[in-house]
Amino acid sequence: MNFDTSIIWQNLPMLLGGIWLTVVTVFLSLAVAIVIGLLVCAGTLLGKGFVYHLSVSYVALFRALPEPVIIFWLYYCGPLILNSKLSAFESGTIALAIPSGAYLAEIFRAGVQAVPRGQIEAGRALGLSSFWLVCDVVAPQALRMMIPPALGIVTILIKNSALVSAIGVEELFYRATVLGGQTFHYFEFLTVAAVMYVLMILPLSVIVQRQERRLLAKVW
Amino acid sequence: MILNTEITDFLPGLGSSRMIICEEVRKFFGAFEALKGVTLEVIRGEVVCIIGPSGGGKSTFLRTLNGLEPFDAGRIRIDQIELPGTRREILEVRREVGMVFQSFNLFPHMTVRRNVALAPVRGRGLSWAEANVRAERLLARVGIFDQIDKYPSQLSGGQQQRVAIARALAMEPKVLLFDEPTSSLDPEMVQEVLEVMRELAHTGITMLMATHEIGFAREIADRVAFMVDGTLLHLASPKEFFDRPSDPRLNSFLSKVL
Repeated sequence: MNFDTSIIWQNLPMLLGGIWLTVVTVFLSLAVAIVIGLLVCAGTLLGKGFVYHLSVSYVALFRALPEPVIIFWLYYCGPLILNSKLSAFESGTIALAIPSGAYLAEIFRAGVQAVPRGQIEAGRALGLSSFWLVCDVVAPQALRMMIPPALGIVTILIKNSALVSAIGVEELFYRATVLGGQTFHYFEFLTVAAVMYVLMILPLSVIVQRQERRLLAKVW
Repeated sequence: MILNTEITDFLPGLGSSRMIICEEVRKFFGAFEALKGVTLEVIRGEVVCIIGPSGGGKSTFLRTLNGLEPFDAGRIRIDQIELPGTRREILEVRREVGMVFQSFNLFPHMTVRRNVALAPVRGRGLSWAEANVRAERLLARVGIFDQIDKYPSQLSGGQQQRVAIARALAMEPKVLLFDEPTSSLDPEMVQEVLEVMRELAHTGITMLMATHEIGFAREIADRVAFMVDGTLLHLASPKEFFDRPSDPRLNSFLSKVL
């Protein structure tokens, strides 16, 4: 077994381009997911009414669907409904954002509901308006509790981004398999791809662990 | 009674001497009647202590007075504002009525200084510099000045409750509500909080306090009320209240706690 590093250096621009596209895909779908998450979270916090039921159904549905199903469905079946064909990149980005948004909505909701009642009452008793109650009291405490699980969702999103290679988005994993196929050096390219994913995710895991330790220690 | 208050509406001299007017206030939690028609008037500068067994409605009653707990019938007037008012009126009442909770409820993500300075900035339009000066003055008054840059979790329970009192005072309220302020404190920390409250009672601020500290109530209250089963049973000067308790339920309560 020999690991040919020269073949990697020769195709480095191609691989770096793949990393770049992975990063862009992750950031864009994360941005969309956060917007979805905030809206759906607001909906579930209502507790009753049409918007509430819509939001709860959204979470239930997209947590139940496997990511590849969403990705393939949106890419192949989407055009039948939407009357316009999205590019693989657009379709893949949205498909990744849809379930992430559902997970984030639940994380946001849990964070808001974990702020003790007494905190909100203290803010009210001081005569804070609803706006300042949210900005000064609820949001900072909720955000702190949301960070570890939300970063967990980001790591899953990075990993799931490899799935959009299946519809032809030329991100890191796609390029690694294509280069492997062209050169018969699967070993080198898949290993490099694996290392790259780990390098992207490892810093996040370290942040999560540190933040969780701080949460347990109850230190601000 | 109703006629009385209506007349005083047109006589500012008389009307303004009453800080809190409650008439037949009722409150239900589902089918459970937590307040069964509570009537109480508190005069400006008066200190009224409410004692009674847990679950008797003391907390619920105090919480109706700043709109934290909506009530179902009767009327409540704080200074000149009738509850339940508009959203703006409720905010105004809350800015005039400070509250100190049993469990302190300090904001854990803010320093002690910011805990105290926050509300005046958000609700009274003070600058942070002005509010910080006010916070420093109040924290010095309750003896926490040297802890001003710490976070609440770094303080003892007694210190946290003193910060909570300073936080309530920062809005320069006309009324202070105390909801069992010493009940969750270790015994050795009760006195430092009572000391601050004793000092406050002499400043002329109107105070309404639910407490289990019978001795303290007897010492600082202008009037003491006994509340049980959602009813204010007995309301009298401390001397009369403790020396000649007329109600059998009050007698039995006092015999258990004294």
